[in-house]
Amino acid sequence: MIEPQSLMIQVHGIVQGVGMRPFLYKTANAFHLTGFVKNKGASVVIVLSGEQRAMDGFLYELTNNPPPNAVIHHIDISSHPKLHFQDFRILHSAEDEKIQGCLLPDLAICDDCREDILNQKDRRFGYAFTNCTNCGPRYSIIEELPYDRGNTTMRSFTMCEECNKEYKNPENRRFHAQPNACPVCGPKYILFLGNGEQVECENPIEKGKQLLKEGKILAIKGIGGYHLVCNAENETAIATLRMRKRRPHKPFAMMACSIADVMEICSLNPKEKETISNNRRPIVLLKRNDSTFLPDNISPKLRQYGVMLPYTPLHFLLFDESLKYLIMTSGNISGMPICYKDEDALEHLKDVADYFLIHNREIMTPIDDSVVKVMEEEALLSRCGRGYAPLALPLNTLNEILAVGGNQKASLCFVHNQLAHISQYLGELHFLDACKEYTSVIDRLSRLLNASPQAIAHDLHPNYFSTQYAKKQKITTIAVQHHHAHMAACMAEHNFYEKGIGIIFDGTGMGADGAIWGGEFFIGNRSQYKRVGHLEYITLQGGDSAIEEPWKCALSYLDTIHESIESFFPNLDKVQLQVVEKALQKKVNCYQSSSMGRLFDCVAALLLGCSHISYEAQAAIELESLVDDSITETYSFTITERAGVFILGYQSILEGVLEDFGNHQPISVISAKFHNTISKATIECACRIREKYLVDNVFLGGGVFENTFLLKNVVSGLRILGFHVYYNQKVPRNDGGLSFGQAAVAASILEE
Amino acid sequence: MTNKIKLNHGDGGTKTNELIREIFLKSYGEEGEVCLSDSFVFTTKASKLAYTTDSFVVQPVFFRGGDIGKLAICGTLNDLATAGAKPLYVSAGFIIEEGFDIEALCQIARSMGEVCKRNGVKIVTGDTKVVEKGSADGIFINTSGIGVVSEQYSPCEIEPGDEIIITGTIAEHGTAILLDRYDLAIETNIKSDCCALSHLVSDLEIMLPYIKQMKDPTRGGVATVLNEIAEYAGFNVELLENNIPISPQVKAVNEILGIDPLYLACEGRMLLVVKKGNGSKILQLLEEFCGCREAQMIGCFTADRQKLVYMQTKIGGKRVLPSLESQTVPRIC
Ligand SMILES: [Fe+3]
Ligand SMILES: [Mg+2]
Ligand SMILES: [Zn+2]
Ligand SMILES: [Zn+2]
Repeated sequence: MIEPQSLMIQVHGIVQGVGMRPFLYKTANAFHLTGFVKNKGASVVIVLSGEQRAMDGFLYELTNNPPPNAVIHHIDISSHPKLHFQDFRILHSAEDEKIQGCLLPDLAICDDCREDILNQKDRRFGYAFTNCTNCGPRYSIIEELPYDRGNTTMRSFTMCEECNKEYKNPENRRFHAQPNACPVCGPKYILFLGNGEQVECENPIEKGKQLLKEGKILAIKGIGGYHLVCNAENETAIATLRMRKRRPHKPFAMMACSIADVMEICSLNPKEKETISNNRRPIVLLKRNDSTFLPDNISPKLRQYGVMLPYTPLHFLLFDESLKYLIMTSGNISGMPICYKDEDALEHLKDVADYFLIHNREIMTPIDDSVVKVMEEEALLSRCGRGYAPLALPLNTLNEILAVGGNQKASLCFVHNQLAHISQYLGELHFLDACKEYTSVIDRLSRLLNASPQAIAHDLHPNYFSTQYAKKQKITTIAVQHHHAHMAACMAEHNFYEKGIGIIFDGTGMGADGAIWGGEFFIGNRSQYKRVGHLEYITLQGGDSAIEEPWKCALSYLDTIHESIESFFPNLDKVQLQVVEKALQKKVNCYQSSSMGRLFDCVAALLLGCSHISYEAQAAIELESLVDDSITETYSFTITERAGVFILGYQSILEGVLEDFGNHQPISVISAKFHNTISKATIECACRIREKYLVDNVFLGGGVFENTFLLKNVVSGLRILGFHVYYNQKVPRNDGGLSFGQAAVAASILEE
Repeated sequence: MTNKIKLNHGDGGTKTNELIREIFLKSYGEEGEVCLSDSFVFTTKASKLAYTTDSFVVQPVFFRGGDIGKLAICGTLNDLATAGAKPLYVSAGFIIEEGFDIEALCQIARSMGEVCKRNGVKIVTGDTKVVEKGSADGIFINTSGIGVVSEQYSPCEIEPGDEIIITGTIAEHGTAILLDRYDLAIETNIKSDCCALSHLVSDLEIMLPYIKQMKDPTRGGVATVLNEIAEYAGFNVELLENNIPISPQVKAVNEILGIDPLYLACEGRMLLVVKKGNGSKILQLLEEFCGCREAQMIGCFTADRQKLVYMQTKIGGKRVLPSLESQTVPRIC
């Protein structure tokens, strides 16, 4: 007869803050097992005593029915001589344990909690900070791991007796719910005037709702920062918000009260319904209905809306029968990071918001809303923010690495414990506040993960803030070419190690030859690449201004086919035009570029007469929005092999565009033909490369592939021809995914 | 004399001597005093001297607002001024390309003489080499200078709150050179700000104890120089876009060309870092006493230690002005 034994079980993965310990408690009791559970670093450790069959049952439940938000990476089990316990207990985390964390994102309010706040008889009726083990804030309030109340910004609120009872009762949904709170003991909302004066009122949220109905603009503090909010059915309010925020055209995100209300304004496929409703609650880009009753200035000239559903109790409380759609845009001044500290918000947004709806729980880590789009049946992440970040993806390496990302759509990636932890979107590192937040996120994440990187991966561009940050650290640096990082991000997400074809269409990225690349065809793996093709170089004048003023791009391109841009931009200053022409001839402040983004800018600027843009890639996005997808024709293009490199020529494409334009073809037709041409040329180029190098796995990446029409056509075109095609879904295809790609390259170089 | 420089003008023989006597000594204007021997010998009672050297290779050699000669002397005097030094003597070495126009050389030498005269400095030693056609681009000048450091000036550690002053409008030299070098055919009155700033050392004498740092924002402009200062000071620099003096024409030209004027050279401006609270007094002195009517307090050091230079823009953002490790690539890509 075998001696009865005890088991020690260690569960690794995302297992804290997801109701794991209460689940284990309940399960142990159900099987009449004794012992204890405690957090240990990122894992939970269980010691169990009892009958063997009961322990088997326990393990079965753990592996097959864990709590919905838990992600179990692996379980270690060891046997020990029999230990004796009175009961099964949850022990408090030992402070001195080394923390090797996995961080859980903020979760949207669950259905049960929503019922509580809408139930007049519940003690949390109308309470904006209601949560339970299945929902509520996590990453945004954590200061340290392990995830215990004392390590979050909920620390300053002491639970009342009733809350404490729930917290201690393993049978309760709020058992060990760290941010547990109620109207008696938890955080509160307070309403302020734009000038910082408090508005005395019984119910600040109700009053806030009234003000929204009156057309006022509110700055509302939420989970990851401030939103600027107004009634989305009020055109004047939106116009005022646009004027005050100095944001003339960029589409505003919306929040709709319910999925039914979303369907009133957009058409959704099942995947879109699932994506918008899941407990991460991203902004989903949806095709708007033609008959939408909402004002045009929400999403000027575009056929899409960015919509999300309520994700905090507060959001539900803001809606009612006569208020179903809200504009919900990040509370910041153009280009700056989202405001999350009350004093900063009151200072920076005082000229934008009429009122401030503020709560007294501190936000530890600011985090923007995530953005997702659905292509066919797949959700593609475009901005990694609340609900998704920090994003942990497996990366098979024992090395510890920090990858610092690019300069736009900045993000970081810590490689630690064979996981790549990708940070939230950190904005544009041209602004001081973004740089400060960026460096503090490096510090905070490195502390939370207990990471000690031995190498730091960065972009080739010497002027990036991120590159300069990396070079100042006293550890090994690994410079990664921008588009190689894009390719590697795609390979790493799909766990691919072999040689593949990388097709990276991007705005801009420093090339190995000092030119600005962005229309690239590579052959390579994670550690190296060879440039086997690219969009033909163009000389662009004006540095950054060529991006903000796409007429300059158009001027450069048309110069190569001896055409003038004058007729396309009748309002353009003649002197300016002449000076830039001359500067282009004489190569003053010029650079060479193979950027596909610039070619799109050029064509879009010409067709739309758009000489200046007010948000990134505005012209190209508007051009995509105009595509008539019934058109299948293309323009002619050239692919020539020069010194072993395939050069995709743009001249005949431009000539085709201009000819149609001259013949007064509708823009929607020209736009479609242009998009079709780029797809066809890309596919043709891939075929030539496959023929020559005998590789048929294709990895697509870069910001230009945020253009869904292009991505869809390239993917399906390549697949028909037998290519295996991959693109990032979990990680943004744009520069937001760069840090992950750099990490993958660095890991692979260090492994060699 | 023939009207082009020949190789034998640099061989050390009679032709060389002729060049020195006919052009340099006459232009420098202090014929009798200048020493023609290999070394110039002098005595001084000063306890602290400053000594600097610089080479000038500007293209074009003549530009709106000056020429390479004027630039060479001003550059050296200004480098001395940054050390709080009043100039005493200057040297001038020439490398001239065969075939260079002699009349042009005369003009360059006269410019040098003029600046020296106005600032009470003597060119006391020099050298002339002529190289074969194609081995140089017209003319290169190397100057060095020696000066007496004011006892009032003792640069000290920069602290948060210290204020930053620029003595005049920015980016004029850089813009002028751009316009002339590339013949951009823009109608403007823009000209180089090239001038000597030695007078600042005496004019500001009483305030020198409150001046912690002087720097002439030449190559790389105001942004680059401030990045260097921020780096060794260990603090952030905050600039106010509204306060940065720039002529509307310079601003317009650079806007069209997509160039940030904060990265363009000044050749007659000084950046002053002054002890917290003394900015307005010094500014007043500059305006009323030194003829720097466009001088402005453009920002200050803050307590943050990222060592970044940023600008509070007109629309409310704080834009970082990175140190450009590479000037040739656009910033955001
Ligand atoms: Fe990119
Ligand atoms: Mg110098
Ligand atoms: Zn809940
Ligand atoms: Zn309570």
